[in-house]
Amino acid sequence: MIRHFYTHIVETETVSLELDALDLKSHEKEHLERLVEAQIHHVVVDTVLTELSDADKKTFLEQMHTKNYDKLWKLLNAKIDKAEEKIKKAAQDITKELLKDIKDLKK
Amino acid sequence: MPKKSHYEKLRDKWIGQHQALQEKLWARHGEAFHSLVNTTRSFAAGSLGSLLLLTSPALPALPSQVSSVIANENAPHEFDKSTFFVTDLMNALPKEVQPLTGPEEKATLSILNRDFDVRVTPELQGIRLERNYGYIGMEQHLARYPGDTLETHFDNAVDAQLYGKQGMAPGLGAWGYFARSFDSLTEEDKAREKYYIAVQTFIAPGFDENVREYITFFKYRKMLIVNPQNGRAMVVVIGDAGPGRSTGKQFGGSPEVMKYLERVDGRQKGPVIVYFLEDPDNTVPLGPVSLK
Repeated sequence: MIRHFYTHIVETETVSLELDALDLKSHEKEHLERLVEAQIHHVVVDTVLTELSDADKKTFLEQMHTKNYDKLWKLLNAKIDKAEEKIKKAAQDITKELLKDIKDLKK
Repeated sequence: MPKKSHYEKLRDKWIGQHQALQEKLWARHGEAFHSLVNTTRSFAAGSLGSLLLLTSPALPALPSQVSSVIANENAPHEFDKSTFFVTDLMNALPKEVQPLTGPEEKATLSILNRDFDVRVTPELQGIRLERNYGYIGMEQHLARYPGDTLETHFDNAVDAQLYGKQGMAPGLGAWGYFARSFDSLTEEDKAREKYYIAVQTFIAPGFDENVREYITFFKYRKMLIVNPQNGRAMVVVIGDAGPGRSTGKQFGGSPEVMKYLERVDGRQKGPVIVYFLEDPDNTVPLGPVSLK
């Protein structure tokens, strides 16, 4: 799993455990986990960008690109009210949907 | 119609959702990505595909037909396989050019083995290189047989024009001549010299304790070398030992290798990824390799 700027506050293990309960080959599980990761990533990035001005968006993208996460978080904390909470919530919401998709399979 | 497996159901649904999220992101924040690409020097100039460096984590290990669908449907602009590949490699590699950690090595291997039709490994027959990610410098042409000079070295005038200026190395490669004479020079010998790299065989873990074994192992060992910044890759052989540790570089490349990879020497030197090629039957030809 690649380390993203939000890795420390976003939990993905629940989805992984639910996938474990399905009859999946290891490469299938790996593929699905990557799709989970990709969806969470897009939702988080969208959440952050939506809160930033055009100039700050560019700074954020640059810092994400260069993995300068210390500066990135300084920016987010300075520019977004309750940045961490908003990111957590966005990730939790998409995670819930993904868990529901898995549960629906079992019906 | 056969019933879909759990995997297939989730895969299809999540690929669709992923596409929708990408399109939404692009629609809402496309201007920011445009601005970044057009004003940041580290991006490939004008390549909108590079935006995915920022927005995509490692591309899922999709079957190639699926990944191409995603690429086509999500990228409103020129957007090809190499973009995904470069994106994923950049995400997997450390910010600095330094030895890879275990997870970084695993991630880069996974990407290379996913996106090329050849298989690579960091360890073969219990032997590893000291580094698989480092800077590469320009090497000179190696004499392939006694009497091989710049005048005899190239098959045609175009190659002589393109590659002649790097000159011939004053000494031989680590394993001497590639052939005993011009008459015994084979196409394989020619390819080995043309597509050779130098690696620091002498600092490979275990070298000092197993010198003879290691020298034999490394001789013309096939490798995959990749420029992670443009996705260009080649199957090459280890044709020489070097460069010296004091150079600050970890690999050397023949003029042909360097030109293809678009790597240069000097202050603008750049990194490459190098892994052993798994080719037990010696069927993989030397030279450029394309993404699947």
